[in-house]
Amino acid sequence: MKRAAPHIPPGAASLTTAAATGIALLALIACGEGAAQSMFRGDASHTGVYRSEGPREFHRVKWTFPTGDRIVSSPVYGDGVIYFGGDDGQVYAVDAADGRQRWKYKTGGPVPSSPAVSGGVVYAASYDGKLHAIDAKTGQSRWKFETGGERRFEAKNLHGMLPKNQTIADAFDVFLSSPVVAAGAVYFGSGDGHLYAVDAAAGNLVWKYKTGDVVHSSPAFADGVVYFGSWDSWFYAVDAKTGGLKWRFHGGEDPLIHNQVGFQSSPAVVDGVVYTGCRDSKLYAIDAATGREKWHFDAAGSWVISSPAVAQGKVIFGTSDSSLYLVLDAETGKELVRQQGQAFVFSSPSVAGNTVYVGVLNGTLEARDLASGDVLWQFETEASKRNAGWVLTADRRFNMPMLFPSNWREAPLVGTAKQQSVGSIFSSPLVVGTTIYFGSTDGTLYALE
Amino acid sequence: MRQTLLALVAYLPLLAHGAAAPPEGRWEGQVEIPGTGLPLVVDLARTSAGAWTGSIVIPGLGIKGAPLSNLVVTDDQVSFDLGSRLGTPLGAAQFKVQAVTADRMTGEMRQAGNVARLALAKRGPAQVEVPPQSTPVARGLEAQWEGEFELGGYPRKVAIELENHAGAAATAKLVIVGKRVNEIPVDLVIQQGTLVRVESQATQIVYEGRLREDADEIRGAIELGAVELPLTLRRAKKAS
Repeated sequence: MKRAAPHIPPGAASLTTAAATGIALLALIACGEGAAQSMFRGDASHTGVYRSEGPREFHRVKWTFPTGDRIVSSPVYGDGVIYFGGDDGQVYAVDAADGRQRWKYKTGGPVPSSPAVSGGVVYAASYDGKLHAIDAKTGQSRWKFETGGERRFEAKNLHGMLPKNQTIADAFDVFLSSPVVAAGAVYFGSGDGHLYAVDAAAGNLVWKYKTGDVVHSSPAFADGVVYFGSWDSWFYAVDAKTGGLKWRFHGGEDPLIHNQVGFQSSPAVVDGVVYTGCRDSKLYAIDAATGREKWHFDAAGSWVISSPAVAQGKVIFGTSDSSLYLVLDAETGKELVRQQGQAFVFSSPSVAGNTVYVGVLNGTLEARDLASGDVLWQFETEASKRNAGWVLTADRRFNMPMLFPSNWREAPLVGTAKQQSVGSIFSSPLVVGTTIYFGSTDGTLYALE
Repeated sequence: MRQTLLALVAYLPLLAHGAAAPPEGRWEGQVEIPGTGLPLVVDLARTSAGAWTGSIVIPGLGIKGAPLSNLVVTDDQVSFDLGSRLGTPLGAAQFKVQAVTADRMTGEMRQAGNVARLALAKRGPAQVEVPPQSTPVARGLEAQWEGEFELGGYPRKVAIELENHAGAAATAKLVIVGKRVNEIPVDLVIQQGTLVRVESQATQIVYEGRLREDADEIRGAIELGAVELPLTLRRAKKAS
């Protein structure tokens, strides 16, 4: 049962008034040139739409940038520089033109989220439980803000894994919340269950809002409201200034194996409607003002982790197990395009002109026509082509019998790690001009044109 | 001398052919999957009726004593598949080997459209594992049994129809109705006292329960892969 609860008092929010009064002064900083490429999903409302016309044909690999570990982070762009995080704990600044490293900044844990660039500062969340503010030019630390600490979603009998009474961390909780910068504050979620608002200039806490579980959904900002989901199965709309709850919306529950629960997808807010995927296998359209459901799409048991892109009156997203590429009418939820893909989609599609770019966990970057959904071209990572251990079938689907022979001990985790050994693309593509940037679990940041 | 050599060369294939002993025995080896080696053990033997039978162990993939399907043995070749085990929509996992010497065979494994080389060496006598066999069921059980469980917030209806066959084991039709009607292939039907077990290897769906004659129901659980849910089945009312 889905319901909106618009009048719940914001008792969980706390406000640091001094910091709140200062944030309005910094409101314009986020609106500079290039802001539409400077944070996760392009801009603060997370539409996934980029200004440029992306390439309709694949020409070449412009450059590659190798790092020390997987790249789950989605790259962002500012002033000729690509910024992204690595599971090797680094935040990287790389020249967009030639792929040369400008600087790297070491955090205390993996960075599987997108940095946000605003006012000459790069903000990045790390598994060290801190939000790092880094000088965009020099790579030097400006400040660090410490949360209550990171953790992955966890549950007993998770996905049916044994032993049933053992709490097991979710290997598919792959992303951290990517910060969004707006109205002088940095908003981001944490494994400690809070959504934080931190003063962008000084790194002081403005307010924090407590939810019932891990917040790894990336908040979207629109019209003074912050929208985000939590693994407690609630989706929240919180006043950006005060942290007061405006409404919350309930997704599905799965008390048995906790498989079909939680908002891992990140919302997009367009024309007064919030679009978000959920692990309960639905994509929801929610009225941004009231929290009431406008419509939902049922992916029939397949997670919607991919964050929807919203462009030209269409909602575009992918599903996990059923590996569908879907385009819905934004107003009605009516299905416009359904294409059967080859493998799970966790990556969020990016729209540039009439082309959609999306990563697939089998190590493929796809370019699709927005109108028809047809594949225009695709790029396969080298690891994907090698297919060590027969992770993939000959038709590039996941070879499940070879991956998950058992649900005992670490076998499911090993299976997940194998699954990602083919250069999986969790990263959402960034489009700047005619170049597509994305990371891969093979540890490489790719620039294609 | 040259003619003798030519004659020997001409006869060499026949000599090699003649060296291939019947493949009965335990064979151990490895499949050279890119980036890794997959160890396996294959047991091949003849039944008392003279037919070939076999089973396989693949430690890395949780397969122990799985029966070999479509087993064909010729003078120097052995081929078989694994039925639903390691199967994908692209078909069953297939193996084909040829005798190189009396105690060595080489060939290939095909799975999910991938192909890799395989080498086996004879390690001793066969230890073919006999799979569990279906049994007849009590006459009182011959009926359609119905129940319902919930998964992921959705109700699913289950119907199991048990049927005996003269001089043979019982069979079962298993249907699960959610958003779609799913007819599940059943491999095994076993009754031992009040215990009833219906198993589908291809889908990893198992129902096991105990007959409670006083309540005319079977109380047990359905396993759907890694998920186990309580499920009580009740005798379906006959259509009037």
